[in-house]
Amino acid sequence: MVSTEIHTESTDLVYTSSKKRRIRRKRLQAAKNLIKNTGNTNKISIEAGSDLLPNTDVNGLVANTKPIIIDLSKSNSLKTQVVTSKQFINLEMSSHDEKKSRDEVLAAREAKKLAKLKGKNKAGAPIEVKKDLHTESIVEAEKKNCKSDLEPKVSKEPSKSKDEVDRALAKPIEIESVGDKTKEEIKADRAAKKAAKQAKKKKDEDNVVGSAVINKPFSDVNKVSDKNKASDINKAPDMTVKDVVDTLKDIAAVAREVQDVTAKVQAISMGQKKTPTEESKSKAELRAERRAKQEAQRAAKQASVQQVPKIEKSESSEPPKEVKLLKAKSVEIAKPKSPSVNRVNWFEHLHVEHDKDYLTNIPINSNLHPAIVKLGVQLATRVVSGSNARCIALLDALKKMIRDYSLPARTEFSRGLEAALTASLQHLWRLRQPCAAQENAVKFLRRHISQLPNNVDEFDAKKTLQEEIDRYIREQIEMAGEAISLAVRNKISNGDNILTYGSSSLVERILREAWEAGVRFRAVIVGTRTRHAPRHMMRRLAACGVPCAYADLTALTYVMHTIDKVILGASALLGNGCVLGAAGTAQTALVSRAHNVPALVACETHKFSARVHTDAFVYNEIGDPDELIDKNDSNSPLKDWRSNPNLTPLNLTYDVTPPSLITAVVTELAILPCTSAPVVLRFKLSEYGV
Amino acid sequence: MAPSESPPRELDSKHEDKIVKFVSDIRNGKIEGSNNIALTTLSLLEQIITECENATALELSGVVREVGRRLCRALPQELVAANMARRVLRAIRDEHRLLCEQSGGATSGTGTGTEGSGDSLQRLVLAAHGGRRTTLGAALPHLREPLRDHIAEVRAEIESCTASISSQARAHVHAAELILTHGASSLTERFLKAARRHTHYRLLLGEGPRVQESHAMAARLSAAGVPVTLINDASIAAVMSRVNKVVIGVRAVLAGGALLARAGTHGLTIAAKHYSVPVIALCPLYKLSPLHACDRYALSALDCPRPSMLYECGESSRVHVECPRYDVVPPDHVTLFLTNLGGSSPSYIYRLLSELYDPKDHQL
Repeated sequence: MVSTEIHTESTDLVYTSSKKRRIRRKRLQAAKNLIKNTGNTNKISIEAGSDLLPNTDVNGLVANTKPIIIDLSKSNSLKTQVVTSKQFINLEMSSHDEKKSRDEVLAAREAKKLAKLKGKNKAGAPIEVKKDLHTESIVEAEKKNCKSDLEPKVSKEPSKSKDEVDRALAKPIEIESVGDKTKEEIKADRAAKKAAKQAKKKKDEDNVVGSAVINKPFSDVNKVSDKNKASDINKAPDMTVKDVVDTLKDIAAVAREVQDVTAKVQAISMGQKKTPTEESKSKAELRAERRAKQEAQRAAKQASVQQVPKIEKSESSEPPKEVKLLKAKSVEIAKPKSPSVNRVNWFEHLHVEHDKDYLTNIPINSNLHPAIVKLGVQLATRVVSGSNARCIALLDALKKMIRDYSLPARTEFSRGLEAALTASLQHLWRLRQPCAAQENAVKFLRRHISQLPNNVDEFDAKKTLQEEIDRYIREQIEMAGEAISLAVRNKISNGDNILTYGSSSLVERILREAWEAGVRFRAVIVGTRTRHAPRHMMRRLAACGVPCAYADLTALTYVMHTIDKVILGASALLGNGCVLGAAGTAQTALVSRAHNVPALVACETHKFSARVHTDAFVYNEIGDPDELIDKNDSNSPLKDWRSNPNLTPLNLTYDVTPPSLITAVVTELAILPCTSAPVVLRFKLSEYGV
Repeated sequence: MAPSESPPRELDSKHEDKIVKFVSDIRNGKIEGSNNIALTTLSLLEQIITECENATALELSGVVREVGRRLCRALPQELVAANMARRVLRAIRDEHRLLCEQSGGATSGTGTGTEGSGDSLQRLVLAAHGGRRTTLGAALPHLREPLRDHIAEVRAEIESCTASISSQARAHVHAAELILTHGASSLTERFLKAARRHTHYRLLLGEGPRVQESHAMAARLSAAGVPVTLINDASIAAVMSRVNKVVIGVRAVLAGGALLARAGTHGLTIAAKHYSVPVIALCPLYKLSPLHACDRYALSALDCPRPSMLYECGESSRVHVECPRYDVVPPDHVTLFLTNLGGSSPSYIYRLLSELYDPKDHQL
C-alpha cells in the first residue's frame, strides 16, 4: 500500500478531479480489505519491497504488483481478489498517464516483465498450476464443474472495465488461442498441463479459487505492460539515438535493481508460503512441477531475449519514419487550410480537405503498422492514385501488416486481426476515402479472416491470408486486366483513332498491348490542365511507339470529329449502371455521344460497387483547391483566395456518367451494357461471396 | 450589286497604309476585344470615306468593299471587322436611296422599299416586276454628310450595346440562382455585375483555355460581391445538373443561329443540353455575321499549345498537341441570344441579319 501511495501521489497532478475521486475511493476500499483479509506476512513483504526500492515511481509500481501477487497467491478469499483487481486498475490508470517520462515508462516495462517472470515462477511454487498456464487450470477447473465463483464476481464488479469483464467471460475460449506464445512456451504449457491433470484430482475448491485469483493479476500485469508498451512507443518519436542508448542503459540498471528486490521479496514470501501446500503433494507431482517450472523459466528467458531486440528495433526504426512524416508535415503546413466560409455549401457534406490536418498528426504511436502509416501518407498526398494502384497498395500494406501482426494474449486470431484491421483501415480512410476497388478488397479480406477456423495456428492463418491476398491481386487485377485488354483489342481495328480521357492504368495497358500485338491505331489522349497523369501516360505510350496526340478537355469537340472509338477508365461501376470516373469522364462521354462515337468503359469487376449514385454530388471527393491556381503565374489573382470569402476554387475528383452515354462496359467476364452491373454483382456474390 | 459585278478596285496608297497599320495593330494585340475592333474599324472606314472626295455611291461602296475584303483576308478570325464593312455598305445604300427618294420623288414605293429592309419572300414576289430601280450609279453630292451621321449612329450603338445588354440582366438572373459561365469575357462580366446589383445569385466559373484571364475575372467578380466558385473544365458536366442557367459570351453569331465561341463552349453546351439547362448567349449585334459554318475548320484557328502542354515537357516533342481557339456551337444548343435589341431565339437570327446587312453584302 505504501508504494501504491507513493506512486499515485506523483501522478495525482495529471488526474482529473473525478479520476482522483475514484482513485481515492478505491484506495480506501483496498486498504480496508487489506486490513481485513491479509495477515502480517504480506505487510512485511510490502515493506521490504518499498524499503529496497529505488525512489523512482515506476519501480514502486512494479514492486507494488509484486507483494500483492504474493499475497493473493496465499490468501484464498475472493475479497482480496477484488482488491487486487481494483488496485491493478489503479495501476493501469497510472500507466495510461501520458506525461510519465519516457525513461520511467521504459524502466517500468522492463521491470514489470522481470517481475512477471518472477511472479510466475513464484506462483508456480505453492500451487502446482500457477505457471503462465493459468488459463488452462481455470478451464479445467471449470470442466470439473467446480463452482466457478470467479465469473459472477467479475461481472458484478462495477469498477472493472468492460474489456476485463469480456476477457474474464471469454476465458474458456481463450485456451484455444495460444497464438502469441512461442514454441517453448507451448511446450512448457503442455508439460505443465500434464502436471495439472495429475494434480487435478486432489484439488479442492479453494485451490481452484486460488488459482483463479492468481490468474487475475497475471492478466492485469500483462495488460499493464501492454499499455506501457503502447505509451512507450508514443514517446518514441521524441527520441534520438543517444536517448535510446541512454534508456537502454537505464533499463539494464533498473532491471538489475528490480531483480535484486524481487529476489529478496521472493525469499521472504517463499519461505512462508511453501510450507502449507507442500504437504499435500506427492513426489510425482513435485517432479512434474519442477519440470514445468524449469521449462517456463527457459521460455521466459527466451521471450525476454527476443523482446529486447524487438524493442530496440522498433525504437531505432522510429526516427527515419519521423523524418519522412516531418517532410510531409512541412509540405502541408505550408498552406493554411481554408476556413469553412470558403467551402461551397452544396458540397458541405463531402469529404473535405480539413481531414488533411489529420495528416499532420498521424498517430505514430499506435499499433499501426509502418506500412499502413506510409500508405496513409501516400494516399493523402496522392502519391498513390488511380483505382488499381490504390487497391494494390492497400492489399500490399495489409499483407505486411498481417505478416508482422502479433496476436495479443488471450485473443482469437481472427478477432484480434479484425480489430487491428479495423484500426488500420479507419486510419487510412480518414486520410482518403476508399475507392470501390479498395472497399471490395477489404470486404474480400474480411471474409477470409472471418472464415478462418477458430483454432487456427497463427502461422498458418497468416500464410493463408497472404496467399489469398496474392491470389486476389493476381486474379482480380492482373488477369482481369489481361482479359479486358484482349477483349478491347478485338474491338480496335487498324487505322482507328482512339480517344481516351485521363490516365487509367488499364487503358494504358490496353493501348500498349494492342499496339504490341500489331494493331495500328492512333491514340488521342485528353487531359486537363491540373492533372499531369494523362501526360505521363502519353509519354509512356509514345515511348512504346504508339502515335499519340494530346488535347486539352476544351479541345475535345474539335478532335472528336476524327475519333472512331472512345475508351474510358473508371473508378467504379455503380449498381445503377452509372460510371464513377475521374472528373471529366462524363464530359467526354457526353461529347462522344453527341458525335455518335462509341464509348467503351474498361472496368474490372473488382471495381463494381453496389452503391448507387445519380449525380456527382452524392459522393465525391474535394481535391486540393490550390491545384486550380495557376502555378506558372507567380502573381495569380487568385493566390490569396482564402482571404476572399466570395471566391472558392472547387476541385472535384469524380463525376458520374449516366449509363445512357456509355455504349458498353468491358469487363473480364464479358462486354456488357452498363445496366448489367447488378447482374455482375450478383454473379460475383454467388461465385466469390464478395 | 453582287460581288462578282464589282471590279477589284485599287486603293490609294495612303488607304493601304492605314489598313496595314490597323491589321498590324490587331495582330500585335494593340487593339483587343471585339468592341474595340469594331469601333476602330468603323473609324478607319469613316476616315477612308472622308478622304474620298466627290465620290459617287458606287465608288464609295467599291472602296469600302475593297477595304472589307482586305480586312477579311488579313484577319480571318476577326469577323467583326468585316461586319463593320457590311454595316457601312448598308449605310451607303440606305443613304443613297433616301437621297434618291428626296431628289427623284417616290415614284415607285414598293421598288425602293425592297432595297432596304431585307427581302422577305412576299416582297420579293411583289416587287419582282419593279426591277432594280435604284442603282448606286448616280452621283449625289451630299452623300457623305448623312453617311457620317449614319456611321456615328452605328458607333453609338456599339458603344451602348454593353450597357443595353447588361440592363437586361435583371430579367434573366433571379435570386438564389446558380449561374454557370465559361471563360473570361468583358461583356459577360458586365452582365453579371449588373445582375448582382439586383439579385443575389451564385456564380460558377469554368476556367476555359485562357486560365489567367478567367482567374482575373473571377477575382474581379468576387470583389464586386458575386460569390464565385471557380471550377475546372472537367467538373462542368459534374455540376451541370445543379446549374440554373448558363451564360456565355460569344465570339460571333453565325447565320442560322450557330455561334462561334471560345474552345470548350461546345462541350459545355452539350452538357447543358443533356441536363436541359437554358443557355443564354450574350451577343451584341455587331457580332452577328452572315457566314455559315459549313466547314468546321474554316472558322477555327489553332491556338498556341502552351497552355495545355508546356514546351519544356519532354513529351511535347514527340506528340501532336491540338489546341483550337474556337468552337462552333450549333443553334439547337442555344436557348436565347441576348442582343442589344432584346432577346431572340436562334431561329430569328436570320431576320436580324437581313435587317443589319444588305443581302448583297453577305459576301464581300
